[in-house]
Amino acid sequence: MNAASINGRDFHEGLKYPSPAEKIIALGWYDGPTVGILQCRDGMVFKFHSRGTVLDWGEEGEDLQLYDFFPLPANSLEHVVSVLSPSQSPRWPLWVPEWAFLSEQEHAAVEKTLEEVELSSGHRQWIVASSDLLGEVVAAWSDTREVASGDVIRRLVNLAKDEKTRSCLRDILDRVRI
Amino acid sequence: MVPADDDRISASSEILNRLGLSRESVARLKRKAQEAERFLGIHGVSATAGIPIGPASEADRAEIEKHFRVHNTSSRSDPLHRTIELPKPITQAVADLFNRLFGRG
Repeated sequence: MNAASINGRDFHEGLKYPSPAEKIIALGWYDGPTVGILQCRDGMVFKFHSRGTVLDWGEEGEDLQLYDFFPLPANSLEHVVSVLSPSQSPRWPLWVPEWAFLSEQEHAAVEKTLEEVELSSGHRQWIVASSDLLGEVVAAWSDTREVASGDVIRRLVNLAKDEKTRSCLRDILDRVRI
Repeated sequence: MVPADDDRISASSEILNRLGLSRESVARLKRKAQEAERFLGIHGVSATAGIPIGPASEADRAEIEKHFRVHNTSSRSDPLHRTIELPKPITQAVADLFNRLFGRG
């Protein structure tokens, strides 16, 4: 683990640590962000999408989302903001742009930019479980193609220090198709 | 503004899908509504008039609108996303009504 991850500025493999997310554009929303672009405090940018949800998981009825994270070029978030900004103003730390445009031309320009940004992404880097992407990472593990995600979660179950976290991870295994 | 989806279809023909089959508690609805108010500007919860991504309860939009306002809140990934506005405060009676409309005993 490097100094940056200890300082909560980027993602690292582990359980229950403060989210390093600083800014999020949600391009999909269902009781929370499901798809979007996220920038960490260290400047790393990712596109993410939910691969599954554990409904009503937490004590206060929060859902647990399991996300795939793909790295993007450093200026990606600003690039998307600039193309969306003519018709609306960003709201940080989490912006859910209204999907309506001043003209068909503006809509086409936004889609073109988003497609370019998406094409520039690298291979999946992280799998992240969280019920609040700006708050806490419940679990995160790097994508190791040789190891099935289920096996990684089983390994994290063994690493978990408390029964609640173990229970949560077992819940992910049981209820999310991975 | 030009809607980037099929929002111009008749709202009365819509079926709204809300993920999950179990009753939702006051605490859960309150939490979800507060999050949506913070980020979408609407004190409410999500639904879709499209195909739900998992097991979901469904209700006729027109029936829902007899009690709660429904907003078309399209996103890029779900042009048929809807937000069902809930009153403040969300009481047990509100939660019961919401669950009943979605057929959750």
